[in-house]
Amino acid sequence: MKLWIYVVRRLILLVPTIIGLTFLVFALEHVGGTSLFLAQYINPHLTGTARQKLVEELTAKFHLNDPVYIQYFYWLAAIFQGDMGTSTTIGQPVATGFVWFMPNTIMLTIVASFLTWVISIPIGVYSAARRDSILDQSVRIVTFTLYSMPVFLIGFAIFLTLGTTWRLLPDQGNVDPILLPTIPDAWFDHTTAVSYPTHILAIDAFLHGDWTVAWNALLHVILPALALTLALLAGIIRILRASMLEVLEQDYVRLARAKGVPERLVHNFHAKKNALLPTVTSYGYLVSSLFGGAVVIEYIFTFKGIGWWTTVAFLNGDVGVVMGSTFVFGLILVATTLILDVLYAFLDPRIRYE
Amino acid sequence: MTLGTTIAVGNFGIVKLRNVVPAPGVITELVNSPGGPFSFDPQIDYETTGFEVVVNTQATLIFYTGNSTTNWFPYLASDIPTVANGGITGNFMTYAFHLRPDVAFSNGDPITAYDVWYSTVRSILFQGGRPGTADWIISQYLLPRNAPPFFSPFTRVVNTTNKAAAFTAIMNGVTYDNATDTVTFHLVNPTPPSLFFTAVSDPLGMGVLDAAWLESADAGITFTPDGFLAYQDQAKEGNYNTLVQFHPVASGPFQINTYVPSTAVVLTPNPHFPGIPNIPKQNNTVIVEWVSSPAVAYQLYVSGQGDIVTLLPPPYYKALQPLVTAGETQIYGPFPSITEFFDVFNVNITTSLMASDIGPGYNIQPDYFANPLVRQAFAYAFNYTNYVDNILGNKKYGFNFGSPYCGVIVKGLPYYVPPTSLTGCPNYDLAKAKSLLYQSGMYNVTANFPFIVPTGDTTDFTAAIVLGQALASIDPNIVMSPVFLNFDTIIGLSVPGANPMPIYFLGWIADYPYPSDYTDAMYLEGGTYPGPDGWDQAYLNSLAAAHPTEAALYTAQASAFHSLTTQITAADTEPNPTLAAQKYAQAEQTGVGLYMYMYAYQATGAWIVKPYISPYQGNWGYQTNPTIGAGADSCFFWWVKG
Repeated sequence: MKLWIYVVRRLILLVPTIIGLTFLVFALEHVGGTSLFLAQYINPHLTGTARQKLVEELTAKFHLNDPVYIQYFYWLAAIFQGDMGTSTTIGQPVATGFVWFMPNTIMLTIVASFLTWVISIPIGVYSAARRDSILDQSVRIVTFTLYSMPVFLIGFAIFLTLGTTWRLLPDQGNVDPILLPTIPDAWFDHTTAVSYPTHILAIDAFLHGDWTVAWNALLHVILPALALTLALLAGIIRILRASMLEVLEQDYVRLARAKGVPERLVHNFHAKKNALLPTVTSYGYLVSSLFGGAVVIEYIFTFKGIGWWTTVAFLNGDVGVVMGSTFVFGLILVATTLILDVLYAFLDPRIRYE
Repeated sequence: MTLGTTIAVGNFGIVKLRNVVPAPGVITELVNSPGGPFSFDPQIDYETTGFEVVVNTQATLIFYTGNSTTNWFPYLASDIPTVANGGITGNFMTYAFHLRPDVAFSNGDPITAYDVWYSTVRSILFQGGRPGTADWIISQYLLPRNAPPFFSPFTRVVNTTNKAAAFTAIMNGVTYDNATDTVTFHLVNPTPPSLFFTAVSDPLGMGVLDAAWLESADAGITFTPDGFLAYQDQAKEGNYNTLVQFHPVASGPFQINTYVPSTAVVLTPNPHFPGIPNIPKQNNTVIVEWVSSPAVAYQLYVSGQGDIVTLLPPPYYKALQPLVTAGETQIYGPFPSITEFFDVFNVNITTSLMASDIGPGYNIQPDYFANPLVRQAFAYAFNYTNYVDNILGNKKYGFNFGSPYCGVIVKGLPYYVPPTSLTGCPNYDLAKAKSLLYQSGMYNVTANFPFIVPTGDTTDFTAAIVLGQALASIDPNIVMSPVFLNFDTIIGLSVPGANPMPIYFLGWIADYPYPSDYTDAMYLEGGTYPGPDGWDQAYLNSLAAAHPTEAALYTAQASAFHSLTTQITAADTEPNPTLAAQKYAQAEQTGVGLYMYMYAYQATGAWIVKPYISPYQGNWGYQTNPTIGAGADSCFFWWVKG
């Protein structure tokens, strides 16, 4: 099949995929009834007829007496009009919350991705090159352990050890709160704790020459990024090692050795880039793990990203945020896998899509 | 001594410094309360998380002295009005407060009687706000119920039909005089100072905002009937003024510097708060962090990232004991709060809704608990001592988390009646419980029903299991099984005439420290609990006909409930303290005798603080007022670090 036809077909399939995903989440959000949702809008002190009246108003406003699928279509219609609703967690439109928090999540995932690559490539290559050595055995044990650990456990372990016990690095928030009063109003909104222009405090502080805040904010990124990295790199190392081992058995590699090419060059010049190909594509498909991990890690470290916001919203019954996050993450995931599939086809001419 | 390392700001390192106060000048409080506050607007917020910020940033005319609930000191007022000094009229219907001249808002605007008046009008107009505001507390004294605008809590004061009359009533309810800088409240009924002052000193509702700033922030009031009508919309969720909601100009000792939504707030000293007797000028920066879980709050606290930690559940008190022994933390308490917890009987169960709202398989008569002897039997089957010692955990965790009590006017409130002065306070006696059940005529009657417990409250879930076992030992036909329901679901199901919950566990946190807040909510017909639990005079009157064999029993019950309502109404409006005490005691005795509740425990409070944290002037009374959260909400202006 021609690639462009494949891309168009995937784009068309994106619509029912997103609808299916968001409907499933919407239905799950409503399984427990409406009490948690309504609790955001009703003060427990409100009782009697005043409460009843408010419940009636809210039921009418949010169509809570309609079947779930009808409520869903109201939500979908609002989405197509660009209205994601208001987040009761932050008191702002959901769309505003994405503008505020998404940059932090993107930064965290970029840092974690960078660290993952920087750490996993040399370890994976070296481990494969020293197959069954003590180093290789050690790497396999560690990666197997990390691979088996759920990401929240890795996060808590780092929080407890490097954070609260050894106090090596900050473990909560995006910056030390005591620095907040020192940040000028010119680029920091003290009502919402949002910095400008990028909404990433470390970068904005750097741009405005506030080195103390920039450095402190950067330190706050390290532990959550490290936790996310550890959750990812085990899988990457394992894939890279396996891929490298396979490539090292190929005829062209044997030929290179036979011609007297130094082993170091055999690994780095002949074997590594071919071994990286499946690793790159596998990494892409781990994007879901990356964002899913970010949700958990951000909550543990109270790192102000989409993941933290979505988790708090979920616990508070802030349905608009949960649905908005599902929608956005769903789009990102589908788009990412499509891009990777296309990239893979370009990188490997043998790939053809049916 | 050991070494620490410092990177940028803050202390990081494997080891800690001893006998050195970390981060001097900064007090950090960790609150185990995920989600953060609702608002910092004193006329909008009505929950404890936001209250803690409001009490520190928004001043009131008067405030409680130490841990007293009956003594006040002048805060924004220059003195406490009395009949003797002419501040209160002899009929207790007019209260005049003169403002002290030396206080100002955080933006430098002087605080005047005009601002107090403006804030009071705003409070009245917001008392019908959504999702519910505390403004009804002051409004109830200033607006008539039986004449326009027919005040009703949580209902908008001004509507299209009454706007002229409502406007007049509001403008008559509170006035100001710029010449004398005096604000005057004109009450609709005689009200003793011990009651009215509880409303005036409540930051939620009566926290004073800067009128000029409100108008500059597009939150000003137009003083016409239509202006009042329109202004009420600003109290509806979705229409709040964001700046006023999260960053209002301060009248108190602190101002809000930065708010990190749902996570933290940084308070810095109000530069224009000069310090007054009882509240010194502040020098500390305060950081309040709302933490997602008790485990995280605990870890942050013991690792030195917090000076104070609040709302930790009981098991952590045991974990903290080694630190107390090592001198690395102190737990001050227990001290009494006026928060009480109890089990509620529903005397008119809407059994048709049980299957859909709670679950299938239950079988109980709708009027099972309408029989007073059944309720009494249940009350005598509850092992109160075992509950507080082993289930609540006083003996288990070595700390007094709560005390048994009897009657709704708990210790710490004015006109408290000790259980020894009451007849009929139940104690654990299974033999008596069985005998009562026999007498009720409900022995050997099938009763399979749920005991509703708020989700996550494993303590009372366990207590319900134990009670169920005790009841089954008396009568195997009683099958009572605990069920978790979300707290908001429980509130949502508490609808008059449509409540499917036969018995459920809940509590009462005071809006103001006066018996009426308790008696009206828990004993009065139509009150917060009696309303949805079937305590309706007409219904009670009908029970005698429905149960001719026990007609005398039900007739007496209906008569007692009628007397209770009358007694409470008389007590609430009695200005003479001696007579008020007698009337509340009478009402309390009647209420206890009706066995409307099983009284579980009166909560205590405790402060968990680092050893370098102490209360103002070394007096713990400043941080143990039961009205100010009792160990959960700090008055930061009364904490000293170092």
